[in-house]
Amino acid sequence: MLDLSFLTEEEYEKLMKVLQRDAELKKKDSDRIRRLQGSLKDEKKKKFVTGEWFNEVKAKRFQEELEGPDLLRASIRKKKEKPENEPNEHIRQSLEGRAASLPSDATSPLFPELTPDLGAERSSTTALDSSEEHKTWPKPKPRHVILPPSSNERWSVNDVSPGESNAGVSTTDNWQLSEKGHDVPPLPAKLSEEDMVQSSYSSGVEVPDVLSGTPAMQKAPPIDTNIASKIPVKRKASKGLFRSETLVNPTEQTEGSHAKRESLKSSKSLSGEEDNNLVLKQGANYTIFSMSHKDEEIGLDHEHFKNLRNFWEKGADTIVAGNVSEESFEKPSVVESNGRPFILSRSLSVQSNQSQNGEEKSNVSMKTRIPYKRTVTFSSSEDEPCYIAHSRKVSASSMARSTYGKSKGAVVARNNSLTESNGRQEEERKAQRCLRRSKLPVRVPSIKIESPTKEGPSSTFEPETPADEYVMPEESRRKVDSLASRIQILIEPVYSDSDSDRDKRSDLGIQENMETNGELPEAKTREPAENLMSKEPATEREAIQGTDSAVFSEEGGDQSPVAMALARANSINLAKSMVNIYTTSETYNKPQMITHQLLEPQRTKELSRSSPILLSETESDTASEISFQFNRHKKTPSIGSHSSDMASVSSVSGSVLSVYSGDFGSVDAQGTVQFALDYDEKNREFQIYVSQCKDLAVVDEKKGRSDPYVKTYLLPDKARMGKRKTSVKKRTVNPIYNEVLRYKIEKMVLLIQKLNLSVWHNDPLGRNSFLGEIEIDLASWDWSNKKLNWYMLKPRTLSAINGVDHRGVMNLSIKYVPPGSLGPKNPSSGEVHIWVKDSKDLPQLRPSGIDSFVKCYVLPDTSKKSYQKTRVIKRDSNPVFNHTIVYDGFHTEDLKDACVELTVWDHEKLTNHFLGGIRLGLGTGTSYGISVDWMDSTQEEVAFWQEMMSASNEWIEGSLPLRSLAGRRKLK
Amino acid sequence: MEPRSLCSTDEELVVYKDLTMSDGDYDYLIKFLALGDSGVGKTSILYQYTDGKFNSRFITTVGIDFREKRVMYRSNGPDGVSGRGQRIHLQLWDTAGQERFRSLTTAFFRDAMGFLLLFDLTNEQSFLNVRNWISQLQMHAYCENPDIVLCGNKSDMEDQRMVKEEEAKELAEKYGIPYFETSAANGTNVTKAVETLLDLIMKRMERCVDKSWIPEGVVRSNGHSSTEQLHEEKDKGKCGC
Repeated sequence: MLDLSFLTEEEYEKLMKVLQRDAELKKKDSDRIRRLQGSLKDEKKKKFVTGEWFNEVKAKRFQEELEGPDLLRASIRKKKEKPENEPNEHIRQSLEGRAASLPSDATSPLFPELTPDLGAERSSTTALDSSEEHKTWPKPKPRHVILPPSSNERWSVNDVSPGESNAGVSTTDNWQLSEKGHDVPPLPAKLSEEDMVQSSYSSGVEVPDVLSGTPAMQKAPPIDTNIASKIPVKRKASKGLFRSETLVNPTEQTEGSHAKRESLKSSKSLSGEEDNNLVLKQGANYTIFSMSHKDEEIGLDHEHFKNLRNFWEKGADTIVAGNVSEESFEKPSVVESNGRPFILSRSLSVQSNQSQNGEEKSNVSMKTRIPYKRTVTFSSSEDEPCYIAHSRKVSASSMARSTYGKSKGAVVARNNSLTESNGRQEEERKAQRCLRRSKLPVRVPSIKIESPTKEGPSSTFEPETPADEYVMPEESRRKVDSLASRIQILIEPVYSDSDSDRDKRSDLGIQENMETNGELPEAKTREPAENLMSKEPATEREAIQGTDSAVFSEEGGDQSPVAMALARANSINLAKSMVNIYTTSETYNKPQMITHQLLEPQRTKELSRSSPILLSETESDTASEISFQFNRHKKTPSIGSHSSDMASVSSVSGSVLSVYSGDFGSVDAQGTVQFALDYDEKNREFQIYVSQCKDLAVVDEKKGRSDPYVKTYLLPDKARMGKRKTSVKKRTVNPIYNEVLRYKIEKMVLLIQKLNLSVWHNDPLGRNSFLGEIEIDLASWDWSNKKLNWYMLKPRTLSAINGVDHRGVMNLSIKYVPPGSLGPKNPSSGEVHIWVKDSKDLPQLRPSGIDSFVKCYVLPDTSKKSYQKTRVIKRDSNPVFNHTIVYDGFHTEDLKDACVELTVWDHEKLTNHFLGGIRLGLGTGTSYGISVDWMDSTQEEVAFWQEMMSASNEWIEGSLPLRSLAGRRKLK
Repeated sequence: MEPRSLCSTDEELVVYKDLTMSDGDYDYLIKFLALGDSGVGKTSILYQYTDGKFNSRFITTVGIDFREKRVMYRSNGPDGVSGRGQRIHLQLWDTAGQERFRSLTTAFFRDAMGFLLLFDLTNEQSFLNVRNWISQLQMHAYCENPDIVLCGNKSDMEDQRMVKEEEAKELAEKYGIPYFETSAANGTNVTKAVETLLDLIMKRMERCVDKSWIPEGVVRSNGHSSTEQLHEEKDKGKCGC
């Protein structure tokens, strides 16, 4: 969906006129084509004159995507709708979105059928696009971007110009039309739209039916019936979807090729019945979880709004907008919540095996902690326990002032506030508080921001409400009162049969992993059918699973706060159920460990060791962001495509860690490496032919030994494509490899990368040692040079270590307004004003430019109250934000313990990439007597903050270099 | 972007072509799209092409717009004998060059069969940005190697020229695309540029569908030798035609 918030009314009108004209032209053309269909016998000529040749080529790239005009129309429509009635609107939209997601499953089988031979080509596009440009591939994840409009819009076009019927309104239609030579009947379509809008379930049923009625849908019927039968009952609805998500795998392996989404989708209909029950049940259990959680949240949120509106008109708007647009992501989270506990516990076991959990004191805290700690383990980065404890702020209104100790005590059980869900959770809690106090702590006048409504909504807040809508009928959404009791009921089953669930859960876990595998480009062996049930999966898969777990673990952190919130809402009972869930999973310790070791020998070793914070920070951030994205994917009921993304991501997150492990500098770089570069246009593959090295440094002087291997990255964003490695050659300083390292990457993307090729000594017991590297700017590479060339190996350069060595600067002004300084009781509490002016020279991570925005927190508060962001400035590495953020509730002494964290992010459709940040505070390393990692302001930053403290009511202007931030939480 | 000279101030640039185009009586609907930096003359060149008029006032395009024109296309045989004329209905999409419309305009890239990529001969930056525009196209167009014609516009303003013809030619050659120096003001090369693009599209179409269907002479038409060669390369596997 396009962000059209910047358009004026007048501009809308103009655009609508253009679209109207386009619709007329299309109608005219479709009339012409219809006439031709009858008269033209020659199929080939038909392809000519109908423009089908074009649609076919285009479909290879943009399968289900709307045509520009339709997309625009949909976007306009969406934006116009929004202001009208917010509360209902987001519900409605989510219903639409949900309904739309169903046909998407049904539709996709169309493609393999029609273009069976294109798989290879397409898949390579996919791999690239998924990392690069989310637009171009019909994955489920951009469902809210593509699909809802498509169902929505396809029909809406009829509204606009009723005669249009088949005029190639959407690509899919177009294709069907041209392929089959039939018109798509517009009428039922229209009906279904109405249904969609009005009732949730009937819509779900309706849509597939309609679609199956269209000529090209032969493959769809089996699915349709399934879905249709399931949908009328709400629980079942979710199950149905869930099933479709998990059952993808069994047939997947037959495809062999990595990214055949279509086949994936279609396989859904083929998947075995016996799996069904199992999964269904599974789904049910977890459904309860997320359902109740959301329920609670919604109720609160509703109230929340009421209370806050006076204060916070604008902020509230933002939230609503966010919800609306994020709806479609969130709703299926029912599905997604499956397997989380399982994963959590897996990681738990890993954790304990590594005996890192010495610090847990009480049972309760241990349970909560573990997921979080696991996070630490896998991402080897950021979060420290102390930090967590810290974020437990009871009240935002008293901001930094609030008593630390008290809050800590209160929330001991939930000290895993680091993950994204945290924000959500925190917010929820806060909402509760707000009910009581009806006082809003943070006021957000945004000065020059016109409409924060749509900007970057998809990335930031984990919306609280939407997920619920997926399961709950509309009226129930509004009810707050019976909440607790309902939760109680819903929760019961979770622990009552948690025992019997254990197995299922495990299967589920495996399935999920397999799903990932199925799509993983490098996955070579797949025997899902057998493995589906087996608990001792093949090692290769394990390896992948291991990487996955890194990703999963992020999610795990997500789940437990939710559970905890529930626990608190329902008191003790629930807590018990949580215990059950965690304990069930011990079964998995083993696979997990194995995985772990297989995956990355050195990583296991390094886990406990902290790699240089500076380094790990960048990468782990990326990883976490990505996993967040994965999170969303999981929620989408339409299956298949997300996993390839995720798989690649997870492999990245694994490899990323190893970048930093190892030891550079202890051995002097010497020698040469011989390799050749080529770009294979046909396979869209960048190939590095590594031939050999000569005269490498000797690592072990005593034994005179080096076991070298060659590793490559594409910079600056090495997490994107990951690393490639050659084999290890033992006991030689003149290794001969003759291996090809390959990256599936578009040429034009490649051209903004630097190739970093390094040689390492592999030490299976200790650290790998850096032997030298060479960096090649691929933009200036002579691609006609395909010969083997010798290159001198050089010592480590900073850019390789840092990933992004230059992060740009931020220009801003800050001021402190002490309480009462502007007259009696004005302001009533101290205020910190942050005027984010602009940023310069932001690093560009992708070829399409930077869409940046700034997030702001006042630490130690990491709640949503504390969170503010600017709008997204598109395609500009020197964005001007001109956004002012005001935090009140400050006492002068709080300035010593608080820290304003400003981070700049590159906003992509589903992921945000950290670009750099600053922390304004005293940099003392402690906050309210607790030592925290984020109190790490640089000298410059400290000076800036001090100046503000000393000069009340004056704007202090500053230009601060953006840097990487250690210990950054995974706040969304 | 400054107005280049203030003479005529047509109230309405939007002159939609006439009744003859209201029917569906043509053989092909071909969609082009003009792109390039803000102020390089995309709207003007299309206006010149469809209506033969020029409006020097700078009116920024809101997001997206299009114009239409009917032309006859004759593919030339090798012996110079024209084949049967084919009636083409051109839909010429005009895009806003302004940054703020970028996401909107790029959404339309994928629906165009060919592209007129414009820069301003009097504005070096617009020329430097050609590279970026091509990247955008490679990413957002219907395939990775769409047909593009590069136009250095405002060739009438020779005294203010900032981009040498050789430079531009060199760039075009690098991308293997035809280059024209056009003037929306006096019409120089405007038709030629569009028709060259049309020619490329028609040839691609033929390749895409099936060569055997086209009579030998038509396929081996003597188009641009350079572009012809380019097609050969392109055919090797990129766009699947």
